[in-house]
Amino acid sequence: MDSIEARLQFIQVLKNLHKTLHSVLSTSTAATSVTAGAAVSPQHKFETPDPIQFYLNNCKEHYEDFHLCMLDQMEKMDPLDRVTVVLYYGKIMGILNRDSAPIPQRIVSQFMLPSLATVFQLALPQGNTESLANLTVCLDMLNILREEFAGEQHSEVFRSVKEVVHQRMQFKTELQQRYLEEGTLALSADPQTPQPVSKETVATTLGRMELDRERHKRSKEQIWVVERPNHSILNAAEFEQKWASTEPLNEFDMAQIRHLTNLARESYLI
Amino acid sequence: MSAQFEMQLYLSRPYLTRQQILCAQKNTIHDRRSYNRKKLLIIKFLTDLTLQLNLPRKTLETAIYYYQRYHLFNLFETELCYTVATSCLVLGCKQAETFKKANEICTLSLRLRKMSNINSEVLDAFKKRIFQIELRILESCGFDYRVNNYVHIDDYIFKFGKTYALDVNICHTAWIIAYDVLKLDLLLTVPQHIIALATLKVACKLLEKPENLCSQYEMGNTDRDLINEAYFSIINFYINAFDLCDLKDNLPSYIPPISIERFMVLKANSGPEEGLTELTESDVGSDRFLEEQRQYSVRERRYVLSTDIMRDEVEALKISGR
Repeated sequence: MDSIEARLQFIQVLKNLHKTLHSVLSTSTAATSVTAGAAVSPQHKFETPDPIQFYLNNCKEHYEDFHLCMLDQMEKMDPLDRVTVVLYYGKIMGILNRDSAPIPQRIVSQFMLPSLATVFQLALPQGNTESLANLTVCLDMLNILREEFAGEQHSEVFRSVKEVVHQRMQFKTELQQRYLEEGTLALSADPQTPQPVSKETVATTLGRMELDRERHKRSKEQIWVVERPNHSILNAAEFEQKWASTEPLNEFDMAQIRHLTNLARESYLI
Repeated sequence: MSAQFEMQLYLSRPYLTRQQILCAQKNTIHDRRSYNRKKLLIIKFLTDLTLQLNLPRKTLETAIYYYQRYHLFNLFETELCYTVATSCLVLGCKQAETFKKANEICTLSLRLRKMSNINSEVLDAFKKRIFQIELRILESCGFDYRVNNYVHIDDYIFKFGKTYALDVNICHTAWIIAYDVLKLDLLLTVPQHIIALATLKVACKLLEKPENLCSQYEMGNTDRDLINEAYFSIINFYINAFDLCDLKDNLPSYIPPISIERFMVLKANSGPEEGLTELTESDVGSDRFLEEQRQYSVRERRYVLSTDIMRDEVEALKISGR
C-alpha cells in the first residue's frame, strides 16, 4: 500500500471508530503483537475491519502518516466524537509499549508520547462546555496510561496532560457553581453563547442519539457470549469463570425470588 | 340486529403441579413414550444449537421451558417438534436477552438437521413457520414476561453458593445436576431458584457434606414443600432413568462413584416424600384451564397476568350485560 492509499484507508477507519471501537474494547483485551498480526477478537465477525488491528498491521510502514492523520482528523471532528480517538490512541499506545521491538518503541517514544497533551487538548477544547462530557473518559484513560508508563522519563509528558485535565475539571466545577447560584449556564461574554437551535444541530444531535443507541446495543450483544472450546455444555472452564464472576444474593435477587414464589403459589390455585 | 362476539380470557399460570400437567397433557400428548423419547433428542438438538451459537445455559433452559409449555396446550406432532424447538430457541434468546438473529438460528437449525440446499426460499418458509409457532408458544405461556427473565437455575446455584459460603465442589456438582434437570418436567412446576436449591441439596448429600443451606434459606420461609417437590423429582429421575443422565458421564474426580443404589439410599434417608399438595383428580379435572382444549378459532384471545385484572374484566362484562 502506498502512503496516500494508507492515509485514505486510515481516515475511513477513524471516521468509523464510533461504530467499531466499542465492540473491540468490550471484548477481552489480549495484547497483540505487531509482527504476528493475529486478530484481537476472532470470535466476532465485523462488517467493518477491527480498527486496532488495522493500525497494528500497517503501522510499521506508515506510522508517521497515521500519526498526522489522527491529529488532523481529530481537529475536524466534533469535540464529542474526539473522545473515541483518545480511547483508540491510548489503547494503541498500551499495546505498542508492551512490544519490545524497535519500531513500536520508536512510535511510542517519538510520536505518541510527545503528542499526548495535544490529543487531550483536542478532546477537551478550552472553553467548550459540551466537551466536558468527555472528562470522565479522559481522566480514566490518563490514569490507565500513567500506570502503564510509570517511569521518570515520562513524568513531564503526564504533567502537562494532567494540567489540561485539571483545568477543565475546574472549569466544570465553576459552571456547576454558577448554575447552582444563578440557575442558568448563560455565559454572557462567551463566544459559545447559546444560539437558536439550527437544523444542523438537531440533525447532529439526533445522529448522535442514534449512534449511542447502536453502541449500547452492540455493547450488550457480546456480553453474554460463552466460549466453549471443548464443545461441551458441562465444560469446567465455563463453571470456573461463572463461579469467579458471580456475586452473592442482593436485595434485587431476593425480591425476584419472593415474587416468583408468590407467582407459583397463585398459579397452582390451591 | 345483534351480533355475537366471542372472546377468551386466560389467566397466566406459569407453574403447574404434576397432576395439573398430566391433565393438560391428556389433550395434547397421545403417545407418551414417543414424546419422552423425542424430548431427549430435542434437548440434545437444542444443546447443540446452544453450543454452536455460544449461548449461555439460561437461554437453553428458557427454550426447554417453552418447548414443554407449548406441548401442554398444543398437540404433540413428531414431524413438527424440531421446528417447535427452533422456535422455542428464537423466543428464548429474546426473553433471556441473548439476542441472535432469527436467520442465523434458523439456518443453523436446518443445517444441524442435515437439510441440504438451504436457499432463501426454504429459509423464508421455515422462518414463517417459526414465527407462527412463536405466537402459539407465547399464548401457551400467557405472554408472561415475568418468568425466565432474571431468575435462572445455574445463575442461582452460584448466587446461593456464594451467599451461604458453600464449597465450590458442591456448586460444581449442582451445576452438572442442573443440566439433567432440564430433562424433567420440573421446569414447569417450580420456580428456578427452588430447583437451584434442590440441586445444591442433592449435591451436598452426594458429597456427604452437612446440608444446612436449605434450613438457612427456609428460616422464616415456607417453601419446604416446593424444595422437597424438586428434590424428590430429581432423586426419582436418577433412580428411574439413571442411564439417561449426564451426571454419570461427567462425574468430577472428587465425587465417589454414583449408581442407582446410591440414590436409593439417599432417598431412603431423606424422610417422607412430601412435595407439593395436590388437589384431587376430580378437582384438577374440573379446572377449565387444563381440561379444555385450546380453541384458536376464537379470534379475540386475551391473556392477563393477575387475578385482579381477571376480576375487573368479568365485572365489566356483567355491567355491560353481555
